[in-house]
Amino acid sequence: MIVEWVIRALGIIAVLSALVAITRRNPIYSAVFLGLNFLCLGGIFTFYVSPFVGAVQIIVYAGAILVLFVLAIMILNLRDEDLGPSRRTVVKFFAVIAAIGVVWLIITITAGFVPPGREAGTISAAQVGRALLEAHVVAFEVISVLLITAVVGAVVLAKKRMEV
Amino acid sequence: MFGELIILSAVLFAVGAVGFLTRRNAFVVLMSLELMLNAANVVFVAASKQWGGPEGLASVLIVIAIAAAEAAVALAALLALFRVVGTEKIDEWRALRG
Repeated sequence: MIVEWVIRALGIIAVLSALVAITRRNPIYSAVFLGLNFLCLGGIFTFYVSPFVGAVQIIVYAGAILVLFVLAIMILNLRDEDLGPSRRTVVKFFAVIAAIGVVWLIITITAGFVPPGREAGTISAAQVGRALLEAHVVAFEVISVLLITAVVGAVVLAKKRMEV
Repeated sequence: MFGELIILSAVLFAVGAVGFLTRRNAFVVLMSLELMLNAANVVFVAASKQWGGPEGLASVLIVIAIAAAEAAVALAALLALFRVVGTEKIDEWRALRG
């Protein structure tokens, strides 16, 4: 019971921090609020079904990816974005309309949909590992190939001398 | 609880999509992309609990790995582009030859 309210509170904080993150001028502030969003989602995963996945979420997203973002922003040493008079009000207007439409669509489609199956308790890391390494071992191996490719690609991109 | 998490995911995805479409700073665009990936994770977690199986959580781990790979490559490409063009505003990236 109290866990459900904790999850709801974390969800509200997550939505608010996402909204703040996409409206800041300085990308560093965006990164900070994005980190808050990741932490809230990690908390939701932890309390809802699996502490293991919540921990991975916080370590990889709030740890690795966010540090990468902050590092890149600080390397470039950007000034505050001079948003100025935006020429893109029309784009913003239609983007917001489309977003509201997407939310409305998902809510109406899933309203009254009662999924089958039983609600599980927590799912242990051992079960997740077994699912990854037995039933979905091909996906697991493909992911490892993808990661090594991405690392090599990032190094090549960073070292390459480009001229216009 | 399942329905509420679906709605949370829809809202997070919509916020990410708005950021992706409207911002000009390339970093914020990439962050919006991460927001949308995370919204998908919320659905996976909710479904995993509802159906009582670990497959959803395995998918979450795969999505997290893909997001990490994407962030590394995208930020490296962004830094390389910044060195050539000298700006991070995506409006001013007009010529992508090179």
